[in-house]
Amino acid sequence: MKKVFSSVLVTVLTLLGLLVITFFIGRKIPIDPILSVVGESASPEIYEKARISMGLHLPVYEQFFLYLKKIISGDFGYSFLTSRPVLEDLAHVFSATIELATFSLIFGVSLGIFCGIWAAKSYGSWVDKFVGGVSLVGYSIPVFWFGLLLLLIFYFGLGWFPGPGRISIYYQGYDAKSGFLLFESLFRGDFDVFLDALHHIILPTAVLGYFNLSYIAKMTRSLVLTEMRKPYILTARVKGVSSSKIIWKHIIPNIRVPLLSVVALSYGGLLEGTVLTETVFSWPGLGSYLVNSLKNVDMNAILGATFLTGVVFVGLHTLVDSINYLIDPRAKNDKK
Amino acid sequence: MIKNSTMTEIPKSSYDAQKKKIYRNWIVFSSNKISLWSFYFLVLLILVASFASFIAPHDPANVDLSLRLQEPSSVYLLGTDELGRDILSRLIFGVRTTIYIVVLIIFFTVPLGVAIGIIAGYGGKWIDRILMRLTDIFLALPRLILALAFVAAMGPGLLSLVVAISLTAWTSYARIARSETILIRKENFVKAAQLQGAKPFYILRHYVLPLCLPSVIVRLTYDMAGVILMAAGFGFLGLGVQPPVPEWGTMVASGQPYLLDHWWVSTAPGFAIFITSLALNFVGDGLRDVIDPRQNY
Repeated sequence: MKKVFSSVLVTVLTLLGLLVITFFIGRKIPIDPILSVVGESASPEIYEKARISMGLHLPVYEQFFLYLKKIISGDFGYSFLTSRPVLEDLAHVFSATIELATFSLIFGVSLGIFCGIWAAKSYGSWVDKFVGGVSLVGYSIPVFWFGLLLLLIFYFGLGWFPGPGRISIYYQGYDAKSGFLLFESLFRGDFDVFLDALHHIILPTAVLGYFNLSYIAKMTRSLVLTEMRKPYILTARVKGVSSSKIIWKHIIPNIRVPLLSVVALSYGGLLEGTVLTETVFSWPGLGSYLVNSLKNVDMNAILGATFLTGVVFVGLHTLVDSINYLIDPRAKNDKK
Repeated sequence: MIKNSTMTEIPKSSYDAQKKKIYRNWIVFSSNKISLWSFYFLVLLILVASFASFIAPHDPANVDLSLRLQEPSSVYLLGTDELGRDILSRLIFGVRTTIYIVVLIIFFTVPLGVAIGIIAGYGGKWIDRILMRLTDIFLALPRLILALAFVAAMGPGLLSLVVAISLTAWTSYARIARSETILIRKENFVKAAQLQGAKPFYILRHYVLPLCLPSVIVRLTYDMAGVILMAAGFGFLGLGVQPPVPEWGTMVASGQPYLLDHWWVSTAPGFAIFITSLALNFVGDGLRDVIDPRQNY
C-alpha cells in the first residue's frame, strides 16, 4: 500500500513540476507575453487592460492557480500560427506521431531483443562484436543526418522508396477521420492507400527505430548476460538442459520485468526523437508542429506540445512502476 | 598478468603511487586498440581546434557567391557551401564551437549533479529522499522537448542552448555519485575518519568525492557524445549557435535544400558529428574497462 501511495505521489509531484516549469517558461521569459498579444505599437491603456485581462497583475502564486485551472479544463490557449485552439491542433497532429513512434517501437524492439539475445548467447564471438558495433553506431549517428543519407540513397539515388511526407500527393485528399492513416485505410479496405502509406513510413521508421534498436539490443544483452552468470543456470546446464531451452524457459521469464520497463521507457525516447525525424521527412506530426511553432515563437503551441509530451512521459514512468508491481511477485510480497 | 617492474616495486611516495596507478590504467586502456585510436583522434581534434587558424586552408567566413556549391577539388578539398565558403575550413573551426558547448555544459552539470548525489548518498534519510525525488522528477520529464521550449523562450543562442541542455543533464551524475557514495560510506576508512571527528563536509571532500570521480568520468564521456548529438540537433533546427559561427548541425541543415545535386554540403559535417560522437563512445568503453572490467555486459 505504501508503495502505491509513493508511486502516486511521485506522479503527482512530477506533473506539478512539469506545470511549474512550463508556467515559468511561459511567463517569466525575456519576451513580454503582453506585447506578443497587443503588439509593439499599443497604447499604455490597452497594454494595461491586456495585462489585467491576462491576470498578470495578480501575485505569482495566484497566476499559477489560474494556469492550473485552465490546464485542467483543457484550455491551452490559441495558436497564433493556425489561429485554432492548441488542444485541437495537438489532437490533429498527435496521431501521425503515434503511428510513426509505434511502428519504430515494433521495429526496434523486435530486432533489438533478437540481436541482444543472439549477442549474449555468443558472448565474445564475432556476432557479439557485430551487434555491439551496430548499436554503438546507432548511439553515435546524428538522426537528422542519417535521415538525409537514407533519402539521398534510397529516394534520390535508387528510387526504392518515396520521398518525404506521409502519403503520395494523389492520395492527399484521403480523409482519415481518426488520423491514424495506416490503421484506418486497412480497416476500411482501401488497400492502395494503405500500401502507399506503408511505403512512406518505412524510411522514417528505420531512422527513428535504429536508435531504439541499439538501446534495446544493448539492454537485452546486458540483462541476459547478468542472468546467465547466476548459479541456477549452471545447474540447468549440468543437468543437460539445451541452450535454447535455458534462454526461453529460464532467462526470458526472469528478465521479463526489467525488459518491459526498458521497452516502455524507450517509447518516450521515440516520441522525443520524432522532433528531428519528422523535420527531415516532413512528417505532419507533433514534432513538425513543435518545430514550426518554435521557429515562430508561438508560445501557447510550444507549451501545449511540451505539456502533452511531458504527460505521456509521466504516464510511461507510472506504467513502469505498476508493471513492476503487478508482474513481479517479489514487489507484491514486499508489504513494508 | 602484465609483467612489468613498476608493478612489483613498492611505491616510494604517494606521488609515485599515483604515477604508477596511472601507468597501470594506461596499459589496460591502451590494450583496447579501438579505444586507443579514438582517444588519439579526440586529442587530434583538440589540437585542430587550438590551431584552427593555422590549419584551415581558407577563411571560414569568406563569402564568395561566384564560388558557391563547388564540388570537392584540390583547392576546396570538401567543396564549398551555398555561400561559397570552404566547407573543410568551416568544419575545422566548427570543432571549436563543439568543444566550447561541451565544456560549458560539463562546467554547469557535473559539479551540480555530483554535489546533489554525494550529499544525498552521505546524508541518507530525509535528505536523500527529498533530493532523489527531485532527481526522479527531472528524470521523468522529456529532456529534449523541455530544452527546445526553453530555447524558444530565451531566444536561440549559445548560452540558452547550454542552459537548456544543462537543466536536465545533471541527473545522471547525481544518480551515479549517490550510488557510489552509499557504498563508500560503509567503508572502514570513512568510519575511522568519523571517529577522529572529521566533519561531514571534510569527509565528502577528501574521502568520498575522489572515489566517486572515476565512475562520473566514464558517465561523462558517454554523455559528451549525447550532448554533441543534441547540440547538433538544435543547430539543425536553427535553434542552436547562430550563423555565421560555424557549427556542424547548422551546416548539415544549410545543405539540406541542395541535397540532390550537391550532396557534399550536408554529408561532410554530418560525418564529423558522427565520428566525434563514435570516438567518445569508444573511449567511454575503454575507460569503463579500466574501472570495472566486469561491467562489460
